[in-house]
Amino acid sequence: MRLARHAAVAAAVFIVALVSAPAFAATSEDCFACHDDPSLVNAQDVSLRVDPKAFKESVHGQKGIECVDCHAALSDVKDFPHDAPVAKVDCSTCHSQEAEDYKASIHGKGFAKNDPSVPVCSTCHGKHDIRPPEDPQSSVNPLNLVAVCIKCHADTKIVAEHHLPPLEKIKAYESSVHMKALREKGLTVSAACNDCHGAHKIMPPDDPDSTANRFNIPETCAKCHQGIYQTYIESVHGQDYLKKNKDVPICTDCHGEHSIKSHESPDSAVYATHIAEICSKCHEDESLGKRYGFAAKRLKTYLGTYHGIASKMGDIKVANCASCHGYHDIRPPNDPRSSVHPDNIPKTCGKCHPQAGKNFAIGKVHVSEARESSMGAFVVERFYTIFIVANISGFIIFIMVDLYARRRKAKTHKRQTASDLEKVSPDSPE
Amino acid sequence: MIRDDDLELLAKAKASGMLSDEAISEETLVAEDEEFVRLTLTERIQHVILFTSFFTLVLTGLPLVFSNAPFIHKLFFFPTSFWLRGIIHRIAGVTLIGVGIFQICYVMWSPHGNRDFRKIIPNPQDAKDSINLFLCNLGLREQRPRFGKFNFIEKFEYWALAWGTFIMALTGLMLWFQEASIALFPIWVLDIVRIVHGFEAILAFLAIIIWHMYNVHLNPEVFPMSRIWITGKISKEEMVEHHPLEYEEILKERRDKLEIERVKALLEEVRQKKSTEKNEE
Repeated sequence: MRLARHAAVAAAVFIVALVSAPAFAATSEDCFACHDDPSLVNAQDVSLRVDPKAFKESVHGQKGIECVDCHAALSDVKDFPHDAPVAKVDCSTCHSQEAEDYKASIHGKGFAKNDPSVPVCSTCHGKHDIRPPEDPQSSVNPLNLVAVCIKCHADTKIVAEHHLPPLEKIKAYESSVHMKALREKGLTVSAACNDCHGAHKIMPPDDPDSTANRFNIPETCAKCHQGIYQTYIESVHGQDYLKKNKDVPICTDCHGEHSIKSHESPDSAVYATHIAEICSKCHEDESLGKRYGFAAKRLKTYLGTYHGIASKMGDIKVANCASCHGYHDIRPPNDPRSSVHPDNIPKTCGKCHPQAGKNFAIGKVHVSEARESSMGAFVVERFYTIFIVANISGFIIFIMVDLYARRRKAKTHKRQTASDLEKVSPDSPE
Repeated sequence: MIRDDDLELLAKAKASGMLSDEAISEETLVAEDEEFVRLTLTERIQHVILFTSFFTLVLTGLPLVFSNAPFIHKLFFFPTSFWLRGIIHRIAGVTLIGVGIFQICYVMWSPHGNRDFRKIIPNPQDAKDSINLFLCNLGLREQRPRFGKFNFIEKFEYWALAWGTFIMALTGLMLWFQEASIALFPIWVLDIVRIVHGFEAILAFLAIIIWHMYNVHLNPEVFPMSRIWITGKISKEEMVEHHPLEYEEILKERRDKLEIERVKALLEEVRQKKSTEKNEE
């Protein structure tokens, strides 16, 4: 039955071809004569149908590309139905730059090793229905791109086989500010996977050429956040970053990577109450402290102040590290442009305490209750400790003695009543 | 005006035994079931407001002192909770300051308050009492010290509270109105103020929890609780046991009053007798 129909279709195509083509090259119309048939299948029973509408609406269809322009192996074939299988489409014929990039990428390297699970052009772009990335219906439009990457990077089997980053790391992007902007605000300028990792030339972060490599990340972020980048490279951290120092914090060290959130989100790594924690990762680190000569005990001396306590308890209005030292523009205190340079202290503190005058320069912000640095605080603390211990011990001793006296009194009372009873009792010898 | 025959009369009354201790027995002065006012209603209300605001302050303040305790930050589980803590703390603080100011006015201008205030002023006897009671409790001394309306323990609590409230109010206000403080003092003063506020709080809290709680709650004699703060009254028994000097004072007052009344009555009687004699003549 099916064979008969196939034969009929083939015969029809043959006749049409004979009649209509003097200098022969099969047009897309010719191809659709067979390939629009839903029942057309290959030896593996996979449908060979191509939706003519989808093709015509695709970027290639729109530009007048014919089937045989891509399926080049068929351009010279005159006998239809043609032999199967047909050689694979080579996109590099037209898209040579993209192909070069792809070859350099981790995906391209896998492809060269015949790894079946690496994506090829069509994995991301589609086949006959390819649309330009600006088209909202394109699979690689920022609105849809994440879903494309996730297909493999959330596939536990692929992830395990290729030692890809764990699922949670990938999924963290879904709650990020970038994804939120894409999904909720529809902002297509927001970063999707390709904006940071590249599109065709995706490389693992340990590759020095990777856009996600430690020494490239600030530039990668700067593609969108240029203003911040300019501030950052002026800062003490940025200056060392430019010197290729690997210890210096870059964007992702504070903000996170996939999980990056608005600083106003309580889950953000740079939310007001988390700042002290983030800075302490390096500034409380002993070996880093020694190497770069950090002032010691900054966290402890901050947490000992009202600012520190309130911040720890969730108050977001009190000063955290960044409130005084700045964030992207942090400079050492001896830099006259630093917000914590003695000349700038009244202004910096004045942001919250308008009354802060020169008095603020007298005394320390990081109070340590150590004798050398904060004498007054040290004396007061010592005095109160002794005073409280003395008082409370006094109370306790007094109470103990009082309880002892009561016990003794109760005993003698009991003995008294007992002997009284004895006297009264008629059984007694007296 | 006392005339000679009045004095003569008084002498007669005394001679006849009318005014002797035996003639005016304790029972006539104090009924067996009589209760004495220890705290007036105003004082009890002050006490209630005081301890509610005190414990509110402790609850909303101590988490800051022990901010390093591992579970403490869990107390502030919703975003505005720390802010709310501050608001409640300030309301309670204002309440406590209010009670303090009322107390000052009360002891200055209320006759009763003023009279009791004079009794609560410490004197050298209190120091002696404290040592004696301690020694007596240890069994080194026979005689327990005898107390008036306020013993040294109560006096200590009162003045500790007054001092503590003053310090806490002062430092608390400085921290509250930090803008003004910053304008007036260098920042290290404020650091000390913050430390003082915290330590004084610990002291006050421990003093109340250990000392006051023992004296009015956990002490076997009153356990589980002395009811004076509710009723304001104490029995004659308690009065004799704990405040013998006050009791004696009350007895003396009443005796004097009664004696005067009796003499007056006698005088009246004699005058009447004289006038009837005159009339008969």
